[in-house]
Amino acid sequence: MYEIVPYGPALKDQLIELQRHLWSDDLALNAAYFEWKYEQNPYFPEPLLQLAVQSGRVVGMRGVFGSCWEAGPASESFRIPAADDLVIHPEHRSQGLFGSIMRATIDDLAERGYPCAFTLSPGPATLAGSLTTGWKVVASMRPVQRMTTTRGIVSHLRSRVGEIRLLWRYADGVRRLEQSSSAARPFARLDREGRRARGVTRPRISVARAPRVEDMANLVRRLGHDGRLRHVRDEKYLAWRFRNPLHEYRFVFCDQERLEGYLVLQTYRRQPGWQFNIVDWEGTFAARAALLRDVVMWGRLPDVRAWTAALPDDTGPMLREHAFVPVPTGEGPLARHLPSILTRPIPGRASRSEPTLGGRRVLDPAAWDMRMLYSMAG
Amino acid sequence: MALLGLLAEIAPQLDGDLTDDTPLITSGAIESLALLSLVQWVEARIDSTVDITAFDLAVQWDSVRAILDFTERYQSPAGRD
Repeated sequence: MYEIVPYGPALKDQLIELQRHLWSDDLALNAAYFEWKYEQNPYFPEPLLQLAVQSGRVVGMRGVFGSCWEAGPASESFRIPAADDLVIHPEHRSQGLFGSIMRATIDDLAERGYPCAFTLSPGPATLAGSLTTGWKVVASMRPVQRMTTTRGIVSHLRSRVGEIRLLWRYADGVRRLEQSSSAARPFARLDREGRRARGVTRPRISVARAPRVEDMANLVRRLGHDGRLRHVRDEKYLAWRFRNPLHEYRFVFCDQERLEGYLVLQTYRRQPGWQFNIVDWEGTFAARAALLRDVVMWGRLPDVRAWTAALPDDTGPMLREHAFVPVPTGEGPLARHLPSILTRPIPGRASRSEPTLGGRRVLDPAAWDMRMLYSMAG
Repeated sequence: MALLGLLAEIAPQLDGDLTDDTPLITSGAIESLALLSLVQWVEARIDSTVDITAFDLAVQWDSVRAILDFTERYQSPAGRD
């Protein structure tokens, strides 16, 4: 029999061990990620997780981390729980645990009075399970990608070779070979070209390993808010957000007299250099254009991706000009909905059948200014 | 494969208790990966893709009877027995 219990520090070691099935094989890295995401979260003072336990052993978990959103003409802010990190030990899958953990999670959030919850980076299994437990898809994020010719050939070859059972080892070999050159220092070229260009270009484009938190938050404030639902990007959030130990970031800044724009690139430490994401991209039109141009030219990154669902209209032509194309839809019945965002109303005194925040309908895709930064995909 | 055979595979915990009206979705018997298998079964049955984000699974697929009603409703004429 399983028991669903709230997280307590006595279960931390077991939880971190269980996350070998989702986060990484490295227990120290898992611990750092847990501490960053749940213990140091700027919005929730304590970790909110529900664990499935059998005979004293943790066999499943669902986490909820704190997020803070703003919406409406007055940019009213709301603390919203974001469900994430679902994992069930392989020996305990298909036992109804997903539903049990989700019900316990929702009950807990109802007691705490939240109006709704979000899921911002579901995989196929989480998406499917969520649809059976009252979650709704708000929108696909419409990802685009820009591949170098080499990566395009490798990806094509890998997918073709992968179809031939006897040669699948060769396909992985091809991928490792292509990856090895960039894995150790995935941003090496971007860093080098950024150093070379220092002080030469106008507007001034620079590459940094650390965010300029105050400048970035000031820029976001200066550019204003159109009232769509977006995560608060103040100093507190930005200082916390980029300490994610599973990811490596680069910050590309565009300055004139002051910061006019920034573009944040990210890659996964588990597969450094295999894929890069533009997780946030902000600024005036001219600044954003200059940032994208120089990132493409300097970085020569093999596979760069961005979510386009909420980008400004002027961004589409900019991305197309630099050869970004839609990411091909994967296989499976839910593939075309990924990546996506989900929401669920929380029953209780603050509940509505269709929640609103700042007067914006949460289920309306047009109500969102969604960026990869707000999701743990970035 | 018949629907009951599929359910025996993907929801073994039902173990002989399954009737035409046994709750599948609202009881948590069908979830995540099991649901993906069920979607593929339905799609093969009606010879078309199904967008499961477009309707309420807890209403339309909550029992064997409901799932068979669904496939009957959306089955293409060519795919009917």
